[in-house]
Amino acid sequence: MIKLITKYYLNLNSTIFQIVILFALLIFLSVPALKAQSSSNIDSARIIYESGEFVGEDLLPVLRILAEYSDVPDKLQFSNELIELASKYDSPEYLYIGYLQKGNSYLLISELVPALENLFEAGRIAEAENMSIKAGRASIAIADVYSVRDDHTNAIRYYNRAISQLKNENDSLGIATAYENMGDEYLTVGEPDSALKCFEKSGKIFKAYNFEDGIAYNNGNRGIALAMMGLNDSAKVMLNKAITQLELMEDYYPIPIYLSYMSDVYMNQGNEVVAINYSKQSLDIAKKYGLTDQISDVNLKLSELYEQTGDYKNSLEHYKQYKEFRDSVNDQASIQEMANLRTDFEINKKQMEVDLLNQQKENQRIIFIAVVVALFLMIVIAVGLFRRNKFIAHTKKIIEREKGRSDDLLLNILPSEIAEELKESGKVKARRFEEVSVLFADFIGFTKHSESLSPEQLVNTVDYYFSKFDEIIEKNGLEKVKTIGDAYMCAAGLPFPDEDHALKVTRAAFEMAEFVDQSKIIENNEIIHFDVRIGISSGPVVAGVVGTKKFAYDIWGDTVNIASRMESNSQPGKINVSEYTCKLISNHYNCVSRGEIDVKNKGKMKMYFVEPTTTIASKETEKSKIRESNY
Amino acid sequence: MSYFSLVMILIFMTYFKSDAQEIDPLTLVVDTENIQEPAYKYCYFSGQQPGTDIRNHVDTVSVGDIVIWNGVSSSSSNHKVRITTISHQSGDNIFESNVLRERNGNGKVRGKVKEGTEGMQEKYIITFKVIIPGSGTEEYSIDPKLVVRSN
Repeated sequence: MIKLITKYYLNLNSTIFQIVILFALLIFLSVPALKAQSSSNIDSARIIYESGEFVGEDLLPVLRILAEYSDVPDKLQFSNELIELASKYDSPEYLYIGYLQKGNSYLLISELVPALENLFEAGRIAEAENMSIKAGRASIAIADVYSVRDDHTNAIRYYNRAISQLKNENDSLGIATAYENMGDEYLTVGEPDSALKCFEKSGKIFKAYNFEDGIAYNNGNRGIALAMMGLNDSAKVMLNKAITQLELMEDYYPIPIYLSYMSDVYMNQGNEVVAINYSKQSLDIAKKYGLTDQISDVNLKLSELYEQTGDYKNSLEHYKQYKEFRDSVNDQASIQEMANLRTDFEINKKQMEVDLLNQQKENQRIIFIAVVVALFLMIVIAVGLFRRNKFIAHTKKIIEREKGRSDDLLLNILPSEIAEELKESGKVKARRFEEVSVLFADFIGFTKHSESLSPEQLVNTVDYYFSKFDEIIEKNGLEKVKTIGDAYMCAAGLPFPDEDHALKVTRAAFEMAEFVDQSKIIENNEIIHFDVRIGISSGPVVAGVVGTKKFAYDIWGDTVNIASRMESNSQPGKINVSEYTCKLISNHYNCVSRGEIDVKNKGKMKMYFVEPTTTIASKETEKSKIRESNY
Repeated sequence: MSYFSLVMILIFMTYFKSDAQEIDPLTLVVDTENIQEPAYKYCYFSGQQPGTDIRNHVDTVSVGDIVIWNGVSSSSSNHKVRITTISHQSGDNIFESNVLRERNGNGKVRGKVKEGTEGMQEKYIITFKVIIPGSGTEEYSIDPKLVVRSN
């Protein structure tokens, strides 16, 4: 019995397909409000269309009604007209409807390739215009075509796609339709469990919307699923509900299939008489609506049922009818099968094109994302590099500024050549200079005065004189060595040898003495007036830098000691020089011998006071010589 | 009439004799003057025990019976009660179709009890219109039961 039922179920698949198409179109066209207007509106629309009162863009809504509610072949004709007019007036919404109805028209006459082409185009327009609900509806229609073609994979794929699209827009009725048809698809492949899950989802929505057509089909489909699962009593309840509802709505087309399943249910329950009655009822309606597949199947079923009851005469009669219709169907099926081979090829080709297009879109999307990400990263890196370079430049600037300050400080402490040597090698090699003149200047009575001065006044005074001394030695190309308290020490002839070292030092000495003398007439309480004592000695010295911190450039040697003695043995405002210095400057200055004077630790030494030059000529001569030596 | 003719008439009547047998109509009596929802309070079947609820009323039929439903007013002979449909509600469907409709606008509905339905019970919905001249038409429904006699 189960085998028989299984066989019967399989034979009924084509009828279930017909119900799928019927239901899909019904849902699209029979939303209650639309259903009410459809029958009245189509007559009005046709009258308007034929009257020619509406032309141009005004004709679009009229053509829409005609395309949606007319029967084939008028439906196809109006769909084409709608597409043409919508293209002319650039109306994507009407263009979508035109392609959708054209696809449905081809579906109704089983021209599946053009049906798919037009439905794909409708879906493409809907997606391009972001009309998600319409895109979802188009996906349902495409899935229905695949379902009819027994392409289960693509059918389920497009139903799921439709559900996804419609969920975004909360199109409940559309979602219910997709679930209902997906359930039908599962029934056709013998998966009643999966089908029932789909029907439960769609049934809830139909009930919530009180959508009678949907509820009726849903009940019937649930009944089929339950019957296939062997749940006869539940199946009977649902099938009876569906049949009653459909009869009340006078929608007889799907009833034969439900009656056939009722027959199976009663057969399973051992009531052959009622089973035969239901099959006969199914046969009557199938004949009435020309359902050749079902006429054939039900005749076979009746033949088997009568055989089981021993009514061989009726069994033979129905078997003959079965054969007759089956041959007829088979002839048609053979022709159809040949056409299907071509259709399958074209559908597969079309699907491959669509898949390729989708893949290209996906690839473009991935490339676009990759480019955006790459650009973003490049911008981030560029900004990072820019900021880093800016930071480096800023840091470099600070370092250079600090280095400049450091160099300036170093140059203040050391002669420039020595400073360079120290920077390059980290140390300064001690050097001997054979011809150097060393000058010492000291303020007379400084120690005595300093006791009565405030520290500020003392520092200001020393700064006043020494600052001027610095200017003088710089002007004369001397090298300041150091200051020790009120003593000022400088030298000429180092760090580079200078043959005019004695002349330069002597000139500077006169300028210092003159400055100190002239300062006496300045009235400034902050400045204390002193007499200065200057001593100069010439000869060899050793120069170098000592220590690792607070570097100091210093000179050592007998020449230095003698210069110091010359200063200590000098007199206020006088310039006391050694014998050798006197010799070096004697052509330019008048050196007045002081005779030999006893010097501590040195014994008697010859000393000379240098007289300032009196003639301009001699001064000019001296200046020119000094200038030459600077070059 | 010749003997041959009588024999032929007899044969014709025998051949076309239906197994179906028309039973007494199930007459729905409606208080059309006062009826309102819930309608069952204003209706009863002619064979119904007094004081019982029509919703619990069960008529018993036999396989092959032709059941006819008609309606009458208990309020006025001018009031019409038209039975429009008998539709299956639950249980087994014991008739040829799940929905039986009024034929020819006579206010009656008829259905034949199918073979093999012995012992089955059907709860059905009887839908009827109350027509009161000058007041218009109102439609009501109630859901009684039918049971088929067992063999």
